[in-house]
Amino acid sequence: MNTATASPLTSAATWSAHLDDRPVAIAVSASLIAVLGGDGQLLILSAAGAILDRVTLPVAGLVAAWSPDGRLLAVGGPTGAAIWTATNGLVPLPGHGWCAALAWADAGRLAVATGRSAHVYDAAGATVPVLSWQTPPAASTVTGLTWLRDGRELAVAAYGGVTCFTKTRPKPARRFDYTGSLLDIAASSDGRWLVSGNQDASVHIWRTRDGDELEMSGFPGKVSAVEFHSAGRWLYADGGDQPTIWDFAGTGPRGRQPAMLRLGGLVGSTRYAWHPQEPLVAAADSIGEVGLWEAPSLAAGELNAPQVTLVAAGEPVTALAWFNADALIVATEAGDIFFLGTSGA
Amino acid sequence: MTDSLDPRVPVTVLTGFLGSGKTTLLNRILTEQHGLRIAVIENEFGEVGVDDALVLDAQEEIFEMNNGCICCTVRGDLIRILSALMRQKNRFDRIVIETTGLADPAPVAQTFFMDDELGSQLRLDAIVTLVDAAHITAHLDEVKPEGVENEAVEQIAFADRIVLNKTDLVGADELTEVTDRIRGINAVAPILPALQAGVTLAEILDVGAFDLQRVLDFDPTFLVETEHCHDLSVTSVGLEIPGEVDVEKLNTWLGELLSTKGADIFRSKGILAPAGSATEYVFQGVHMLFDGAEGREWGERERVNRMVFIGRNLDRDQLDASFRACVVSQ
Repeated sequence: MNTATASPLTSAATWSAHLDDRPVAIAVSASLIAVLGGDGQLLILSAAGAILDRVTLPVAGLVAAWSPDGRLLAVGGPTGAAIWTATNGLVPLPGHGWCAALAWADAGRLAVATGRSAHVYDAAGATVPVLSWQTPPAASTVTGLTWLRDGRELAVAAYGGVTCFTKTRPKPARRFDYTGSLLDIAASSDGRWLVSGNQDASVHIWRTRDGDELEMSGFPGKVSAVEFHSAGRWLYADGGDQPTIWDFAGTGPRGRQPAMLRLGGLVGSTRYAWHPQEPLVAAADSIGEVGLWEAPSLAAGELNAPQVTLVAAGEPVTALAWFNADALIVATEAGDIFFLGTSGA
Repeated sequence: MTDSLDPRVPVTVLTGFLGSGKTTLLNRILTEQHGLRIAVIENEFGEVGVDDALVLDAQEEIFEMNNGCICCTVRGDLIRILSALMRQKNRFDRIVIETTGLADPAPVAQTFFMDDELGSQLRLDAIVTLVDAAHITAHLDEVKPEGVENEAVEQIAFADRIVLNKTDLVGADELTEVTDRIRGINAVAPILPALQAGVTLAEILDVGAFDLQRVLDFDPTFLVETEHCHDLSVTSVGLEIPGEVDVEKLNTWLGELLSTKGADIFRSKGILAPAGSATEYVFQGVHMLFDGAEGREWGERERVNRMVFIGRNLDRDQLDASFRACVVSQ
């Protein structure tokens, strides 16, 4: 494993840009950067910081995600989702409803939270995705989506639990109940674990094989973001202003304490990002500091100071993303976007 | 107006039956020349539509918390929508939430107690209930099946301000009757008579009804006036006892009262004189959720403890006796 602590990331921005909005999400492809604002402003930037497009979503912006091949950008807001492509610009998807969750599977399959249902579009080879199937309505607006079994099964989170669907059968394939309001879900890359972050300040964990459950409550606030590192062993969970990292190695997290991340200011749910390869997490805070932590060297049950602290912004950071493996994009409340590249670049 | 140092955005909850004039009032709020950016969250498809205002639809999504406490139900749709509003660059000066005629106001109010993120950026300003003077009596008299709430009663019981609308549709006697009827349920909230929902906006917006420093900001004379409505199952009970209270005894009593009767107690408010303290202790609650803080210095004023409960099947004598048992003689 690389010692990413020796990361040559620099606090001095290679370039910066500005969004006339409060950034809520950053999505990156191999070559493009999309920054979405809470009022619905969407900025598409090249890796060098050139502005390629600037469009606006109706009502507000909530979420953004690139297709795995980087051709299509999906964005969601209170009235629905849309697709941005370099050739067509922004094209709305037909479904109407609150969209705060998007999940791409390989082979161009896109799941879109649409009110109480999830709509699945087929975007393979097309510039305009086609509606393929949709789930029956959940108990509440859909809050989280994730694909299981190589994109054959879709897990849908809402009030009352997670329901899994496949295209061919209208009935739920599996159901994981939890009496509470689920805010986000994540699945480990091997599909063994399903995790929800909840309004009641808890994290709920299911072993998908047999539904065995585990719960960690007592976070300082609601847990609105959970995400596994791509290799699947480590989980990030925010909880109020106390982000934690969980170790799922071996038989899972039962009996283990999570490691807590410490920054200078308050840390919110969207201000973290897993490195695309290394088990390295970046998190930013309300005073503009960005910290880097290597998951394997964290002390469980303790507060861990960052191994590297980058002072990036000097104002609250509202969104954060890695660009490829060697740069961080930091967006602040005021709409300033900083590209922190490697010092040698 | 409330403390201008509080940077949190005030949220007004507008309740009332279909036909009570909510849409008219909303349009008034939106069109009046106040220079404010207002966001409206509505449950019903009204005819509200003003260029400058953001109007969002909300489908009522009632969430119980995992602890199983019925009093801790919140409105998931509001958490979601309000959180998104708070992430916008152009913040709103006011937020108005319109509920359906059949909505229970409790989960709406409890949402602001139960979600820290919202509570840090928004403050529940007041629950404003619109009442149609000509039809409210029929709604109040409507007999519901066992276990089903009469929403009209609940909406009046929860209110911080009651707009008694369409007063031109009833005679003077009937108006007095309706007013007394409302008073019998909620003795605390000011009643604002109106034609076509024509109230002064300052009387319903940014009034700080949930501001602890303005708790019991009402005329204490109601305390002796409520007895004549003892036939109603939902009433107000006001208690006023001079002296200082034993904090430990009071906490034990209130804790037990709210945990056993919390479902029946819609609102509670109080100003207390804790033994040995130079300042007031002020509190207010919605069902069993409770918020308290230090109030003003007592100074030379006589120490008096005042409490108000609005709820169902309240036993005034028992409440009074339990309250008195907490008072230490001076």
